[in-house]
Amino acid sequence: MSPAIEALQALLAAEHRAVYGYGMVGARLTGTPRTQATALWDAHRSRRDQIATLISDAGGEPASPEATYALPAARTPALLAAALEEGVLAACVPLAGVRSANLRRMAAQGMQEAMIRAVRWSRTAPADAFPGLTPAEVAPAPTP
Amino acid sequence: MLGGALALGLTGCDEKAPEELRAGPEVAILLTAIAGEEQMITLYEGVAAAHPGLSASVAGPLEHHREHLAQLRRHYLPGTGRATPAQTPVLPPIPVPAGRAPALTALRAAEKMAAAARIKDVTQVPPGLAQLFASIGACEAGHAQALMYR
Repeated sequence: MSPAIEALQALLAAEHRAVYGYGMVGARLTGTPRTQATALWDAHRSRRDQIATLISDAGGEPASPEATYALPAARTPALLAAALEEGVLAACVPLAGVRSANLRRMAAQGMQEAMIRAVRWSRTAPADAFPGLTPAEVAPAPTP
Repeated sequence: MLGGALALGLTGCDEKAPEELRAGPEVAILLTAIAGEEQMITLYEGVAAAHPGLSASVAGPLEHHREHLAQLRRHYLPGTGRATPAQTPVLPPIPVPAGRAPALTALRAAEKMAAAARIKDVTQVPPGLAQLFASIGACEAGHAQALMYR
């Protein structure tokens, strides 16, 4: 599998999970927050389909969703939605490092979009200076 | 794994005298990003000084920008001779508005502009560095949003 397809598959898996998770989020909300959750559920379904198409076009077989997902424990539906967005953000990182500049741009836009949504849901500022990256990725050990 | 130091493009290895090392386009992008982080830090420090009531709100993003700057500088290894630009460009300071709300608006605008620049940057730097730029852009976009709730 090419690195680009592998990175797209990782993002597709995160989008499958977000679609499943937003279903849970919406079911636990009412009123305006529910409407917002529904709109984002639709947005994630569209993104999922777009990524699946990119994988097919590149000669890959888009991964199917799992029957269920173990979702992060969250005190509120809004915090669950924020956690789902953080998962999508992290899943964009491999795609931000592929050879195709177009895919890198798509990944960077996806990371910003996911971060903005996470902040909207949680009402808290980004916790890390380098969202989506591990400390080892931020400052790689020097190679001899 | 992100890439380490920037690779400088060797222009040739033939029998003639070695060509000079030439900086790749990513060096200019890195230097501009470094200048942008310095400008952002100056703005946040100015807002904190002019509006003590906002210092707690700006402490988090200010610290993040200092981390961004330190990390970007780690990726820039000054060369010798004409290999790399002589100096980091310096951007003019962004004026600090007198009022609290306009100051927050100025911070938001600067964060949004920086985040937009990072999206362009990721298409023009090597993949390893692109991941770092993408992450920094996400942080900046998040702070632009979070400043709305201050």
